[in-house]
Amino acid sequence: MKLLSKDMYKELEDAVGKEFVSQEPVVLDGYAWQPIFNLTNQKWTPRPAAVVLPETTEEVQKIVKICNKHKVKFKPHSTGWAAWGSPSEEGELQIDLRRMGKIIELDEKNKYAIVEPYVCCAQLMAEAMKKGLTCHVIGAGPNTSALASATSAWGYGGTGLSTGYSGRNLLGVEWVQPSGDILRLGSPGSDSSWFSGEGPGPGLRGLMRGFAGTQGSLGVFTKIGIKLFPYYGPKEPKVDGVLLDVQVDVPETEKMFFVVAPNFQKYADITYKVGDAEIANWFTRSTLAAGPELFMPRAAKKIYKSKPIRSLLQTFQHQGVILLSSVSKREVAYQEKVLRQIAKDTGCVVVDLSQTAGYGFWWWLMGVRSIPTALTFRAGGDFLTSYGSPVEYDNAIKQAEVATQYKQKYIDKGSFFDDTSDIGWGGIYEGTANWGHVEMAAMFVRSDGKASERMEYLEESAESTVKQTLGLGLSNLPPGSWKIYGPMLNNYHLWQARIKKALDPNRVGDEEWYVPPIDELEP
Amino acid sequence: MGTKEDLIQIVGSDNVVTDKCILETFRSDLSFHEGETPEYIVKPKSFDEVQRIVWLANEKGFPLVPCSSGGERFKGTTIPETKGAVVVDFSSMKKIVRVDRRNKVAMVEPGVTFAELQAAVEKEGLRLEMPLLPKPEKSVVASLLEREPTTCPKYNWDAIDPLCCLELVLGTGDKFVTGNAAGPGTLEQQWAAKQAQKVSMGPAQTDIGRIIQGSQGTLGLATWATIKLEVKPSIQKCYLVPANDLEDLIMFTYKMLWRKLPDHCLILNNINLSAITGVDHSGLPPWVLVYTISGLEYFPEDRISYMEEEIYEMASGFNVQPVQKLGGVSGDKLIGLLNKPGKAPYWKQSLKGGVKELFFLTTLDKSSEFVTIMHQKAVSHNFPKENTGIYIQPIRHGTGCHMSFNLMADFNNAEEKDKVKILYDDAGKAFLEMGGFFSRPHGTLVDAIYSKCPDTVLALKKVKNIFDPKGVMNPGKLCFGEEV
Repeated sequence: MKLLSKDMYKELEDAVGKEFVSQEPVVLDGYAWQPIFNLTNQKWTPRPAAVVLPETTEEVQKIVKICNKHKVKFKPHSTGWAAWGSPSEEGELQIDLRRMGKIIELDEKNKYAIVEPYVCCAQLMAEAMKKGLTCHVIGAGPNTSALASATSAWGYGGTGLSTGYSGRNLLGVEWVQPSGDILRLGSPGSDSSWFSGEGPGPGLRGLMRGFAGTQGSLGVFTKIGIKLFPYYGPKEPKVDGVLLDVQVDVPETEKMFFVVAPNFQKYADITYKVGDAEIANWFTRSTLAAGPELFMPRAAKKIYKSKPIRSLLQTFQHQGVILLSSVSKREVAYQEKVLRQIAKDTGCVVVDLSQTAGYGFWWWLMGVRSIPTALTFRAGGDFLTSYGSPVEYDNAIKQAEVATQYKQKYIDKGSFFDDTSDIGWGGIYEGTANWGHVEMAAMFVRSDGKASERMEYLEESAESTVKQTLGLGLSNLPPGSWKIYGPMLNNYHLWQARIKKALDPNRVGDEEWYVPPIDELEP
Repeated sequence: MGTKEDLIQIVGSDNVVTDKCILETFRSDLSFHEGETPEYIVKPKSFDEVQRIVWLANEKGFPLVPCSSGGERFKGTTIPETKGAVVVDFSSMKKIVRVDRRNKVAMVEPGVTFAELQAAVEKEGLRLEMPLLPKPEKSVVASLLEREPTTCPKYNWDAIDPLCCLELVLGTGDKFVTGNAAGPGTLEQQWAAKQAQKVSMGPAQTDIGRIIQGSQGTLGLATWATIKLEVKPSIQKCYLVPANDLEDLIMFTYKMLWRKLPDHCLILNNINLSAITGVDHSGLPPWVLVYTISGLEYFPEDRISYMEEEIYEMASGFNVQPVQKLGGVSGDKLIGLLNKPGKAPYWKQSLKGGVKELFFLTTLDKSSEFVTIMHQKAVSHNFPKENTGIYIQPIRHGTGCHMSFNLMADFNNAEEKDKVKILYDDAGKAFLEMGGFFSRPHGTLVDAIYSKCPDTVLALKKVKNIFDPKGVMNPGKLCFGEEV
């Protein structure tokens, strides 16, 4: 086990206080237990040499400067939800940002909040809802950090038609760069409030975030302004029960429908029409076969074996869930009228969920909170996801078709739970079907000895995105993927490597999820 | 071989301008700034020619100054700061490569103007998000790269919108394509796979498109861009909400934006409304909120109807009254104006001939404070109130707003011109101190703007060194002085 030098450890204690630094093995093992999205297929990540818990931006800056002085790599995490928040090698310093958990400001009129890293989406949403607002929540659930999703990670939220995409919702940013320099992007950098992230001049947000973030390789984000969006539901909903037993009273002006299409093409058609009509709050593909897997996984194993039931489920393969939401009955009535006409014109069927007994559950879990992570593991204890590039929705639907074929091969090998080979979810974003995504989830049991086959699936699915021109998505993100895709895409990795060199001269930011500095790639 | 011969070899002798009179026009513009006369103007017609020009500039060390729009120029960005510059005039790159109805996106070269693209997209049942009455010769790509605000905040999700992807020649001469246009696959392969280059993010973990936007040609040159379009309404109605006090409009505007009802949504004072419509300002109220609502493909009358009812009810709660005619200005006339590029003469010049625009970002709730200070400054400089046009444009769903003061004067009159110069500087510096955020720095305020953000300047210089290490791209602009 690698430890920090005594001098460095003492400097960290001086920076944040003795009780907020630890190198106790039992504590460090807690950080190293990271099975989720662990691409080694192990339950553990390399154990950090120590963990430090700063409370302020200034403390973060001191920590990063200490790392520079001692040439020790650091890895920050916010909620630490998955393995990419952990060090990639032993001897690194884990910066745990859980003491930075304040919603500093919630500007109701201008629809944005200023938050610290440990504010999870559930917290932000709860406060925002009191003001008639909400936030984007990625599919990993309301337990994730709003700041990390927007600055450092990736992920789509089912409500994106009305709440955008995490990386595009950023406004001002406070950033401790790997050199220890603090940079405030946009308006806060010029002593203005946090409503803008670009300028003066070039948009430097482009350095730290593209489709995905750099997972801490370019430093620590300590504060962001983040856009909030109108929310028309009850300000403080009465919610009884937990997860699958949730009961909620839903107002009449929140109406949810299943939309069922006869095939992929018709499903894409109705989706584009909904976007053009500007009617819905969100619209996400959600196959009927996903239901048994999520809500009754043990029964699902039997259900999926029944040929008649399989064919019934597959009849509803091209299904989505759509929410119409307003404070006004007139507006919702208009939207429903349009939806029904579009369905008629495109040969699709709509089913009014708001008339069903379990509607409160659907509305709360799927419509408001984004699905809780706990549900997505029920089938086998673990899952992976693939495809899902941000593209035009026709291409996203093509990804669903392609992914289904590839996944079936691995279901046949026993690598994945047999779920009729779809469970691709994803929808349209930003009000008008501006763009979309569909990703392919797959469930498995980690202890089944099929790890190498699942890695094969990931590689094969990634290759298919190139062969069939499906964009760069979730299949194409693993560490080192720049070696394959960089040369295909204008050598983007070389520009990133130059940015890395300029911002991290001592190479202290863990670069596993990003790139090494340019002098390593072009000596 | 000399630079001229090299340039002729790349673009042909017809596309290298050496006429002194024409070159001289680039030495200054209506920004009060004077720089150097360029050595040549060069007019490339393709990506390859642009790339060869940038390679040549790197090899021989001459500066490049990009220019895409025709007509008069106002901001000084195309004025060379150093001797020996070559202006890269994109006006010959005029292809509308593609208009995609289903994905609501167009791909255009930098010489395409708003008037040209608007006509093309309307044929497809789409509409183009534009700044407020852009001059007809304004390049769409230049406007996107300048991050100019558009008039429908509901479609404006992020600061980069409606710009999607870019094909670039970076300052090093390297090609780079941004967003999902980067690949995998060629453009043709992407189109065959039903992609349309509409996603601006990436590729991977960097947004070079976002970095290029706002850089005023100091980092690279764009050879095409894709632009997000919207569905053309089948019917539209325009309303005007008058007020004596700007504050009376603010909370109503916030509420309408929260409900996502209006398409166009902007506030004008009587001077700017007069400049736009040609109606005498004396018959107009001091402030007018202008908004439109629209019917789309399905049940358009129903959509208009419920929106009208909702907005009327809201308005009564805020003691404001939307009307369709006001002091000689009709909503119908305004719809026609808002949906098209402006006509000559440019509306900002129509009252006095000359105009200096002072613009920045703030939030709607602070806009009145800036108006108060501007009026105080105008009084102290003896500048007539009726020569100040004010425009407030909510952006990004209303998370912020663009605020613009048009200081109008007869620039042939030296005294009037000087008064504008002094007021521009004085008010601009006051606004900076009040928290006005000058995200698009121009003119004499640039140094003051960057003195507020030394950390940003440091980072920008690192970026400049990455993308333009030899400093050939529009040197001297923004914070990129000779010491870079």
